[in-house]
Amino acid sequence: MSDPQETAGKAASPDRHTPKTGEGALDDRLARLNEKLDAKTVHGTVDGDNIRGKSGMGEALRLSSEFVAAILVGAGLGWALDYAFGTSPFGMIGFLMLGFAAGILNIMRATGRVSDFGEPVQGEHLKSDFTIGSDDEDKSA
Amino acid sequence: MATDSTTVDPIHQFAIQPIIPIRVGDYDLSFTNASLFMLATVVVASLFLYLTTASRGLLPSRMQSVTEMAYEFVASMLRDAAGTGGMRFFPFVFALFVFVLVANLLGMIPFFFTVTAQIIVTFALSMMVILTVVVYGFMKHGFGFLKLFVPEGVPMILVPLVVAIEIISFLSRPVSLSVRLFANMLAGHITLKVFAGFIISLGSLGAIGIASAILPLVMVVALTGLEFLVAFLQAYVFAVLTCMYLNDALHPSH
Amino acid sequence: MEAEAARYIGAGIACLGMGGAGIGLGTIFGQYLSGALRNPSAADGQFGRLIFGFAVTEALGIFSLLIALLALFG
Repeated sequence: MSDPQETAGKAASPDRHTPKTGEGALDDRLARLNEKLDAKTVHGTVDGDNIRGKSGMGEALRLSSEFVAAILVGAGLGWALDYAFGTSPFGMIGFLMLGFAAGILNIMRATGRVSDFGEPVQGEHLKSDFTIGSDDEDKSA
Repeated sequence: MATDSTTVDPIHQFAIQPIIPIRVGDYDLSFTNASLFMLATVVVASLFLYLTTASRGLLPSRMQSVTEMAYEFVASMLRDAAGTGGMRFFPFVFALFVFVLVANLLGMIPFFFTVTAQIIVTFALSMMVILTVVVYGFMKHGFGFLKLFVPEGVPMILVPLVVAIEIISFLSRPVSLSVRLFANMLAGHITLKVFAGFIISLGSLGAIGIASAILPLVMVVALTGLEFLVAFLQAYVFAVLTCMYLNDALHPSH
Repeated sequence: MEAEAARYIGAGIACLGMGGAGIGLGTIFGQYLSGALRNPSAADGQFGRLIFGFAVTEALGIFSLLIALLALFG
């Protein structure tokens, strides 16, 4: 049965998947994949994973604060630009929308869909992203 | 029923009162209870760290191993998030973590002032983090740091839009970082105070009231445990997010 | 009625729209959760669509927030 082992490996228990005897190559590859997965998940949602186990409340507060903060910053920027240049409604309209987009981006980042700054915004294919995507420089060492 | 004498004002504990009034020109630079408890936080943290490691035992004593655990905890967190190159920020991250943790825990002692429930304190801390990121990023990478805002593989037409979104997302970091710590501590202490207030107002109702006052008492005990967890968790989250932001300063282009 | 008072009342009324967005978000997350509990293995793959639905629904709430902010500060 490969299923329970796989899910156990995915559920952030890094020392479970020591390679067994036999079929060394496949086990090696599996171990390496799991290592990469762990590194990626730890990298993307460091606190997310840890909080989710302990209190969902903390996670919810974190996500909503990320979202609201971006919207507030967008509205503030728009208001400041309007105040400075006298373009009364348009700065607020545009920057509030941009702030909303940034809020969604923040949420996706916090949940580990988009792993970091500087990568294309594509969710959905979670696992292929994690294995194929560019690996980190000094974390594999 | 006594409504005035027994009701407690849950906000009152966060009021800042000057202890030694100092005025410089138009500015109020009084030494307040907030300043006192920030000073107390620093003194408690430094004394603890100094005294526990003063013996420098090769075989650590119990208290020394607490300090070593804290050191290892922050060091591995920083190494995981920002790589070995991030270790030059270790003093900064460790100081932040210990300050927030000790301030949160000191606030749990009855009648003590919670420094981290003041938004200006948490905002100053998070601005310190973000300014470190920005200044160090520009120092190390020059204008290459701006690559942080331009994701790879985006069509040229979309670049201005994406850059604007990324900049707002970056600017929202200090806001969410500070508001999270502030809101958690504020909400926790208000909840504790409100439930403690229920005990008093139920207790003044006579025998039945006192019997039913056990319920909020149990609640307060449970909430106190939860608050200790939150105190640690928020310090941890603050430190982890600091590490992740420092990672951006070290490696802006992924 | 003074214009100032009308502005604040208008901003308050505009915020009612966010209540509708709140109901919609509750429906979306509730349905996602019930679907995820029925078939947990498919839940991860649909997370992107959850975020998409969240974004589209919340955008309508943001529109009414925008109107409220414009009425207040515009």
